Amino acid sequence: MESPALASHALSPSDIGAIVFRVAPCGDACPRVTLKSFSAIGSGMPTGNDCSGSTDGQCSVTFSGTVKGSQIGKANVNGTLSVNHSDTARICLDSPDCNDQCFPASGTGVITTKNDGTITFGQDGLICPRTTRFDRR
Amino acid sequence: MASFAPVPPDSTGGENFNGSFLVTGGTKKFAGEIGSGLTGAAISADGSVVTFTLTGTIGKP
Repeated sequence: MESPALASHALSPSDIGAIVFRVAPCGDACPRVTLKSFSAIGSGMPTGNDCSGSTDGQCSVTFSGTVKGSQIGKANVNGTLSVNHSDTARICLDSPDCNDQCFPASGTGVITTKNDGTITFGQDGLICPRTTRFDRR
Repeated sequence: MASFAPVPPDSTGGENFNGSFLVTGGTKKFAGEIGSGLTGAAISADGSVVTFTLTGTIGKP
């Protein structure tokens, strides 16, 4: 036997319309992604080991400096790169001699703005000799 | 077969880091930033000076 409460909520064509409305696209309420161009340039200093003397195939390089960037103005930047300089990871630019070689490196960094806001980022790429080859020891 | 540990990079002679940067988060004004990426970035070391160049986009959901 149907209860009066259920009977009062029997679906009508207008109820169905209301249900459909609730699952319709959110329109202006939908989350939107706004992308803005960003650039920053600056300089700094290594703050620790520059990998000299590393013999186990792995080393970590830290750096710190200041940058001037769009949307942020002057800011500080700190970062760390872990370098894999093992025999199997290196990339020879002049194979087979392999006097010029690149190494995979990855790490993280933080840009700290003057208002103490931060932008954190990951970095992944190659460390390669610039104008001269790495010294071979 | 010759076996030696490849010389690790150091500041002697200078080297470049070329790769991609990916924004992973932030705080305050940039708390909503997402990993839309900073690409074409480079860090180069020449002697004791490190230069930073970051270009790309940042996004906010």
